[in-house]
Amino acid sequence: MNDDFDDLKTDCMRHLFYLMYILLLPSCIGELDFTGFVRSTDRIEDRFKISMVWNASNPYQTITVAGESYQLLVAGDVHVGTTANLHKFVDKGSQTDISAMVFIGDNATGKEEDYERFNQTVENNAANPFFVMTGNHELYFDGWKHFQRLFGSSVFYFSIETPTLKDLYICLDSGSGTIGKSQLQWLKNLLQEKRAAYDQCIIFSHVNIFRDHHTGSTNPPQQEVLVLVDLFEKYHVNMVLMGHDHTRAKDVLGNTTYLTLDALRDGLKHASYLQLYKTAEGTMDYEFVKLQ
Amino acid sequence: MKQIRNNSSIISYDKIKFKPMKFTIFFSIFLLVSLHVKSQFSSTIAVESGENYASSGYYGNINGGVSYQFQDWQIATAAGITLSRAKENVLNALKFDVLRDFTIKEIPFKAEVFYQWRPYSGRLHEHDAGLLLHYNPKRFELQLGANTRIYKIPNSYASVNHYTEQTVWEIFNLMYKASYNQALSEQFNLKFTATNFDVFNIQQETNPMLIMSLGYALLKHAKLALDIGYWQAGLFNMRVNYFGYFTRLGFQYDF
Repeated sequence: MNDDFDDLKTDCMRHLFYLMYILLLPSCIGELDFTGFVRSTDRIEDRFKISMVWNASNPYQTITVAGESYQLLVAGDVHVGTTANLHKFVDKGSQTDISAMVFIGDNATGKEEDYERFNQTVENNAANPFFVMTGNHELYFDGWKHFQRLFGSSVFYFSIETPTLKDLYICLDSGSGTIGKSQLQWLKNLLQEKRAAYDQCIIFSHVNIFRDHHTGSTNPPQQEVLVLVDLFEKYHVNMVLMGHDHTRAKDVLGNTTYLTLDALRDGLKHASYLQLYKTAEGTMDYEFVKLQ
Repeated sequence: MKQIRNNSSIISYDKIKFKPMKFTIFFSIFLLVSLHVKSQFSSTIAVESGENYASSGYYGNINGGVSYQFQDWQIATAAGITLSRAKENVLNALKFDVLRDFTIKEIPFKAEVFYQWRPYSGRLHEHDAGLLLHYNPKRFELQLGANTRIYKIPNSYASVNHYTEQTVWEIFNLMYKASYNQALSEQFNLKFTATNFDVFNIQQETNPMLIMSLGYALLKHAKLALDIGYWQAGLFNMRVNYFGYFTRLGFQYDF
């Protein structure tokens, strides 16, 4: 029994070593950066500080619309590389009845050439305002420096004003699997100071709050999930829109609807984006639009 | 019938009246059985302090529990309070466990079922139930199982706000704990643990934590333990990030 166990232990250690070796060996090949298992060069607290410096000289945007109703398009997990679905999304998002587009992370692999390809596709074709957020893939291969150079900030908000009301849209950086201490405080302060002045409040996060099915994609630690869900309820957040898991899901808890988007990545059968409506009656509605 | 009157309601006192006769009978039977079979009481208390990205500064936890072993069966209950700027409720959690020893081909195992309730705030409660299998070969302590989790808006808060959707159910989450013990002397023991659950905190399976424990056998029936824990975030997103740490001093006494 003891000898058997010692043999098992030795085998386990050997296989664990092989596994680590196999994982780390191709750490800079393909779209995955396996070094992120053991180290990160782009901590959330640092990204938050850099974002706040950028925000100080680049004020938060306000989009004014003529009527009481308007539309936004939201895309998750484009994963450029290739840009066929991204082109379709940007074409739709550039129509005159769309007020803005939001990319909720994993837009590119983290490699500089993919960042440039994503940015050129959107920048050259978008006729309406667009907002770009970080996911975990943006941070691979030290990708944060490219994100920061091209898009400035990963933590920000914008508002949309109709003739009678205004709505608040908050974009969080959850690419590290946590929003971090400073960003959480920023979010609390923002909701406390501004929420009451706005009609609808929508929050975007790349990483999922709830775990809708058994999956390898990682949520924030449980302590943070409880704080965020309680905060969203306390300040009557209307919707939380997320990506990351690549599979659409819906949860409703109290006042808040939590939606996870499908991935928009090329080659996926279920690739879709979200069309978000503010109705003339003042409520939020949405529709998943599948790409052919 | 006595009545307790408060501002808005009348509560029937008879419904919550303590019944000494029933209690005495049950307690006498319990004592009688306890004295005639192999049984054991154990109690633990622990003081924990730490800091994480969600705690709004340092927090303090006090956890206590009692367990009772009766032949192959063990029942346990635990409770905890939290002092934290991030949390409105002082009560952290209540937990109930039932465990049973058994063998398969002379290899000893232990099965555990548990339920815990965490009233995070007046707006949000967490309910967890789970099943664990324990196996302790030589210097190792291994636990494997699963839990299911419900986030719930309490009825009182939901009714005031006219909510119809009060729960989110996370159906399945793997639970695991692997510990390695290294005896330093007859009294001191060092333990290294990788796990996704600790006391009342059950993380998603892709959010493991590391705990190092120094145990000290104070007396024949008394033990002290000093734990240091490290939380990370984002490991399985391949973007690991510090999340927090804790230190805990615990005392266990077996009667």
